[in-house]
This record gives sequence, C-alpha cells and structure tokens, in this order.
Amino acid sequence: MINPPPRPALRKAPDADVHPVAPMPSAVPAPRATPRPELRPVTGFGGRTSDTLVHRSKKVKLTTLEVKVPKRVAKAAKQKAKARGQRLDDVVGAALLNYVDGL
Amino acid sequence: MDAPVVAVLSLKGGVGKTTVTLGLASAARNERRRVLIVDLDPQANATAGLNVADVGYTTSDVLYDGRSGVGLDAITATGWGELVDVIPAERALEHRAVPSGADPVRRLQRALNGVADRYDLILLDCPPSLGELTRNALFAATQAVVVTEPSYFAVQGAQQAVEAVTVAGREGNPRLSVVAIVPNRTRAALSEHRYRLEELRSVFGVKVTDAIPERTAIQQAQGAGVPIHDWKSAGARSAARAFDDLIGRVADVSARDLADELTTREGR
Repeated sequence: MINPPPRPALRKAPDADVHPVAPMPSAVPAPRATPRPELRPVTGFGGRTSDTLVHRSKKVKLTTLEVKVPKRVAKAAKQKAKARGQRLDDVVGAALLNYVDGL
Repeated sequence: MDAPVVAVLSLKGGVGKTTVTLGLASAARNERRRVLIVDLDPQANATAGLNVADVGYTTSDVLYDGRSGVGLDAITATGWGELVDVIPAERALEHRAVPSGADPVRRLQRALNGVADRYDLILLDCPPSLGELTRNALFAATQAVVVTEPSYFAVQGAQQAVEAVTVAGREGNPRLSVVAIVPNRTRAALSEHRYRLEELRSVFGVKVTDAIPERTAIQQAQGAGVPIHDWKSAGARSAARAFDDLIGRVADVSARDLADELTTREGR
C-alpha cells in the first residue's frame, strides 16, 4: 500500500496585501499585438497605404540585396521582427521603400 | 453523512445575510452541532461577528489556490467555542470576484472536498452581488436560503436571488434548491412590513418562513462577538427562538436523529 504524497500546504495569495481599489498589474499580461498573417509591410510600388501594411502583391518580383549593417542592428531587427511575427525581408523592404520615397 | 451546505444569499445589501448566517450558526451550536461558516463577503462581517482571534488563511487564499481539499488548511477556530469554525474572509477576497483559472465556478466546491463530513452544517455567507463569489457558493451548496426584508426593493432582490438559484441548478448543480426565504428585520407593528410579508407569501408561498424580528439584541450580540443564544435579554431570546425555528427548516435537522448523535459523541 502506498501512501499519497503530502499535499503542499495552502499559501497566502500574492495579492493578499493589495487593496482592491489599488491599481494592480494584470496577472496575465495582455497578448502582444501582431499583424494578421496576410498583412505584410509593402515590398513593392503601387500597393502602399498610409501605415505601409497591405496585402502582399503576388506580382512583385523579389531580388537579393546584400548590405552590411552593424551586428547589433541586425540582431535587434531579427529579434523584433520575430517577436512581431514579421519577416525581416519585409521589414527591411518597407524601410527602404520609405527611404526611396523620401518619407 | 455529509453536512448540508447552505448558501445564505440576497442580491440586495443590508438585509441581514450575515445576521441570518450567524443566527443559524448560533442555533446549531445551541443544539450541540458542529458548524463551519465560510465567509465569502469581502467585508468579513461574519468573521468579525465570530470573534476570530487570529486570521491566517482566508477564503481569498482558498479560492486563489483552488486545489481539492485545500479549504481544510484555512479552517480557523472562533470565539464561539469548539463547535463553530470559520474559513474567514478578508478585504483581498474582492480580488477573487472575477473568474480565474480552469472551471472557475467550482473552485470553492473543490476546495471544500473532505470538509463536509467533519461538520453537521456548513453555511456560506455570500456577498450582496451575483459575482464570482456568489456563483461559487451556488455551485458548492446543496441548499439556498434567501434573505430579504419587508421592503419593495428587498422583495425584488429576493426574486432575483431565487432566479439565480434556479439558473445555477439548471447549469450544473441540480441538487441545489431554495429551502427558505427569510424575511429579516421585520417590525410587525408597521403596516408596510405586513403588506410586504403578505406580498412575499403570495409570490413564494410556503418557502417564506416566519419573520425574524428586528431586535437591538442582535446587533449587541454581534458587536460583542457572541452567539445570540448566549446574549441575556428578552429581545435576544425572541430572536433566538426565531433562529431555532429556522435551523430545523434549512438544515433538515428533523431528518437526523439528534439524540443518537449526541450519544455517539459522548461515547467517543
């Protein structure tokens, strides 16, 4: 016969000392806003909107542009794009488009 | 045999839910029955009225934890003696008034697993709202006592409370039923009170119990932290008699053989 393991004792709730009307951070952080999958930064001319988020045009031809950027910038850009659910190619393309348009 | 779990509720504040809870506990204690009061009101008036010397774990902690049987860890002795225990409340219980975790409406029911067989009566003192605390009470309870007073708003509140019990029964607690509608704080000399009592009886019929009279002794006993049955005054005796009548109805004590139980306990 095996005895059940001891049940951990009850503990005070972490908000026991927080007054109910005091501002309290939510126990569950709000989910990070991410763009809908079909929305990407514009990668070509003619499909741009004011916030540069439009449907990807299937007619846009893509090419490879090799540039050198500081390692810190490349790393941070990759992390940020990943966290937002974006492709780094799309982020860089949108930035370059703004540059060539003089925005 | 598991104890009846009685939710004492009203959707209107100030009608005397805690007074009825404490009165029922006092009557049960007077019959040498073991009572547990679960204070689900963040105002913690029942906890205060039970003269609890040291509040440790509370219903807030129990509902936050939510594990099966964890309510046992929060049972606290009261100044009313060995027959009456409490799971006390605290202001932070207000944090539990919103749904949280899996199956949030059954957190209290789970936490009270293993508790019911240690007592003869469990009383759930609800807050005056239909939030998560009252919902937990309605899913943990086997009986509901609706407290009201002879006023227009209170009669409306009683109707809403009965509807809430009906919904809880339909949505997952089929054993729950309203066993009593208790008119509290009544003054028989007032024609308005008599009118509202008749109104209550015309709507709810035999479920309406005899009225609990408004007596200063009830407030005095609560302020002193003693059971109404231990308060020495004519008013206290009158109120105590009303709670004696009520306890038989809500806890179905008539169905249990008190003499046999007392004999068994004395033989332990």
